[in-house]
Amino acid sequence: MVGRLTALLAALRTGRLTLPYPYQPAPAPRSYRGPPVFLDDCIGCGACTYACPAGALSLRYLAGDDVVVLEHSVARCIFCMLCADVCPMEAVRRTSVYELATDNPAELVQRLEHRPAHCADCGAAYSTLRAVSEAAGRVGGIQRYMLRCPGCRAVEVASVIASSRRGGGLA
Amino acid sequence: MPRRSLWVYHVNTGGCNGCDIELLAALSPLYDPERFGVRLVESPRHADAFVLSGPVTLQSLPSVVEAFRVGRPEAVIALGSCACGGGIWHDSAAVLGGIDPLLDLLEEEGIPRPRVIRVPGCPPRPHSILYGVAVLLGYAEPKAAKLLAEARRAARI
Ligand code: SF4
Ligand code: SF4
Repeated sequence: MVGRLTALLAALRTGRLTLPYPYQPAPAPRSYRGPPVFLDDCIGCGACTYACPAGALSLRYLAGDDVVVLEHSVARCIFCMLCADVCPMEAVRRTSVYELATDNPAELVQRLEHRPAHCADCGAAYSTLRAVSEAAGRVGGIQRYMLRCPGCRAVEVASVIASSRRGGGLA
Repeated sequence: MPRRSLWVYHVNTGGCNGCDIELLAALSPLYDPERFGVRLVESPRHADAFVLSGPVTLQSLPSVVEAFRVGRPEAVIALGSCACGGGIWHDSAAVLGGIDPLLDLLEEEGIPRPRVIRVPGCPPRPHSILYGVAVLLGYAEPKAAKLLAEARRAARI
């Protein structure tokens, strides 16, 4: 009896602890790390797709290589922000969204569309127009290689080496 | 989902325990899901819904299938990135890769497809889990896409 009374007094002294959360909004604390969002500054370079440990990001060539889509799966993302670290355009921003629960998987996919760059030689899509022009602006001078897909680029490099050697009398 | 007490059975399918700790936190008096009648039960036979965490490792698979066979849940709350889509184990040879391949496999076994509520996060915070329960019970509407679009608009400025 005395034990119960003590417990009752302790409960009365403590008061109500339960948070009013689902009935009242509860903003996340500043330190909470939510899913990333991708701004229009994105150039579709694909650096984030390589950095992502969860494979939540992918760069897909769709509609017969007419459009390149950066796809982010919020369901699989672990909110580590490695994508924000590697992004050259600072196009990835952390958010503090946490009310992500849904019964519709399509709600958990973010998409950004880009126009593809086609290889000057073989015509295959190999990157996005914005990524190529951004890279050209940053390094410059080697556009002969930049406008070609990796395969044709290797052929181009080989032919340059071969033609420079012909004059030198080697091989 | 019927408007009555929701009894849940917790299945850890080989997760790291992060989601399970958050789930226990969400079941504490601070968040108190018993306000909505949510109770953890000890047997899958008693459960209306399963809370599934982990990427469904092959080692856990027989027990998981058995739990679904006897439990036949009406709904599954997929807790965390692993259960939602494989998480960082998505390309591992030792896991099935989350709820979707598991449900495909269960369908082959003749177990009906339950309703799936996905709660992303690594781990999801207790608030997120509570929101998932609210969505399951019909007290709240899913609003992930809306919130992300809003956050994107706010980040651009
Ligand atoms: S936050 Fe981490 S897991 Fe999510 S998309 Fe970025 S790199 Fe991938
Ligand atoms: S610009 Fe940033 S967000 Fe866009 S593809 Fe490159 S790394 Fe990813």
